[in-house]
Amino acid sequence: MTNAQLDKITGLIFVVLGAAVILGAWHMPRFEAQNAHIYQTPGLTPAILGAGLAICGFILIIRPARGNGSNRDYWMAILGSPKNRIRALSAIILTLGYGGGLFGKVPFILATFLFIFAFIVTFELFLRSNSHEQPNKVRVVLIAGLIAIITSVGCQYIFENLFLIRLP
Amino acid sequence: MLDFSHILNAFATALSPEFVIITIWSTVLGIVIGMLPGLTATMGLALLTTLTFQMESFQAITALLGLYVGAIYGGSRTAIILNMPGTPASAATSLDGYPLARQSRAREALGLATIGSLFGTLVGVALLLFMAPILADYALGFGSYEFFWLALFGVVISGRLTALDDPLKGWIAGFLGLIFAMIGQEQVYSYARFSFGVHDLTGGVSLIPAMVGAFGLVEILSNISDSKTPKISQNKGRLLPKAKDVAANAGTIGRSGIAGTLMGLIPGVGEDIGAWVSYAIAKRFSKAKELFGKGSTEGLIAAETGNSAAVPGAIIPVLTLAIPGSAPSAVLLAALVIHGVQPGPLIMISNAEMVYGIVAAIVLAAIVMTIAGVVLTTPLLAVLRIPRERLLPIIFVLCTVGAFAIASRTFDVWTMLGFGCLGFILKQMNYPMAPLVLGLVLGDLLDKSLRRGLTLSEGSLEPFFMRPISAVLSAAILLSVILIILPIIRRTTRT
Repeated sequence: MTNAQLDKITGLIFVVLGAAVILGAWHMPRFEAQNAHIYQTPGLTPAILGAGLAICGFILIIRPARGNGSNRDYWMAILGSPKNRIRALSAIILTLGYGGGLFGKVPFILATFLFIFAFIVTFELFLRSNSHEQPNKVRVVLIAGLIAIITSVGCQYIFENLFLIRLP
Repeated sequence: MLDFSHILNAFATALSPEFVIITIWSTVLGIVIGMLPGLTATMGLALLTTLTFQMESFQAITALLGLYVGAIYGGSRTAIILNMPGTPASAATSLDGYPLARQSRAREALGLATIGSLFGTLVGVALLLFMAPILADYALGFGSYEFFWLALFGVVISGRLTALDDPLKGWIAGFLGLIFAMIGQEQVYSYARFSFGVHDLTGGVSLIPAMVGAFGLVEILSNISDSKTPKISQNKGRLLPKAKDVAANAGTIGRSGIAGTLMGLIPGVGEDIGAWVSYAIAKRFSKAKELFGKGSTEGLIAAETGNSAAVPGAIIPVLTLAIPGSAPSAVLLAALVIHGVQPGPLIMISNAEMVYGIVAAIVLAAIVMTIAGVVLTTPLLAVLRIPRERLLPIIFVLCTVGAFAIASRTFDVWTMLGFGCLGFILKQMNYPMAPLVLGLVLGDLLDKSLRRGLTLSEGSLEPFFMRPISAVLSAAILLSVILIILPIIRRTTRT
């Protein structure tokens, strides 16, 4: 998809979002029983901002293609090469898996150990950078394990004992 | 009026052993964060805010200032050595810094950048010291009308200048930030807007987790997605520049220092633009314009002086108007509030010691930055050899724990993840993050000022346009918008 087409799609999303914000603002209470004027209602500012977003989105849709409009470089850094695509997807899965899945549900040390170990092994062994030489698998696993242990135990110790923050 | 006894007291406190130690570690940490491509000053500040949450307030603020000064400077190291700006503020530095490194003058470039940063910070601090009381005094006359326009001005100008190629996207990012700021209880009727019955949303979007996501997770994902590894240039030769070389650039340093500070002072503009404007001014005044972009020491010094001067510059509106001059200073503003400091026009009356304390802390951080830049450049560059595959997961763990630590809520971790993913998607399509964050910071002020202003004027819009400052700000905003929108409309109707 070209940059111009992507801009039009995101413009449409912003128009819909802006309209939804206006609708949400319209349905907010107006506190008329407390003699509130229209300009004191909680929905006033969100409605104006929603309108602003919708207008900007609309301009994004109708404006003619810019100089780079026919290019396809918006997602090029990620989608341009199959390797980058897999690296981005893996990074999203790992970070969301840790922050949204493991963190808070599994003891902190275990969750952090698993995340760091999996991250290093994934990116150093299976999805390594172009410049990396053929890795020694045992070495990578040992280093990943060591960094994972030091980080998870270190974080737990520092936050709980020095910052007095109870980690999940 | 400047109170010299307060200034002396502030320097005495800043020079006490505990504050010196805090400044040393935080500035060196800032340099490392700034050096590492993918870790920005904003991310470092957001993360350190969560980590210094339990510290005594001025100690925490000193640490944050040290990191801020260090990180903006640290970006120059990678800009020169790798041609990869460690922070966006160092983008202009790489234009001449990297060509100098390619000419085997890397150490000379690193040294000149260090001196430029030192003098830039000092010029900025001097202007902060003199301008903050004047601006605070002037701002005492500001009412809701002026604050409404200032909040909007910050978002509009930030959107305009952080997305020079496509300001419309900067404004969209700003509107998104302002809309996110509307979530949660408003201040007049305590009505929870857009909370959809979710209890955690009634308190609103937590600023620091959102910033950690928008700057931290976005950079982690962007960085790890790229399978190319940068190559490090040779780093040999003399590091400390000769006094005559520095003296020869005194004019450039002075001009860039003033330009950088003024750019920092404009709400939402910040260090990146400070560097570019200083670079452009230096080129205009230079007798060797043809060297710019090919290894001009003048260009390098101008860029580094400009971005470092913008740091104290961006702190001026934070302290006197409670409006951030840049994205990192938006985090600083949030941190000041977390630590019980109330920035705003009254600060010179209610808490002048804090202003002078901040001045002293920045000066000390600049000195530490210079010494560390000269002494530790070679060992610090070794950090660049740590594979990002090992560094980034540790940083993500700190982002997660940092987001959680503010209120011990898992919901804040989700906020961080949500803003990180949204930011990642927007970044691929050239939407800047700074206006989004500024919108989030300024949304409450905008809402409060608009409704309060309308209540005071009984619904009349006249004071919003007729009071002198309001008239100037509204005209500047309208002009900025019209200059961008009008050509788009013309092109659209033509096609």
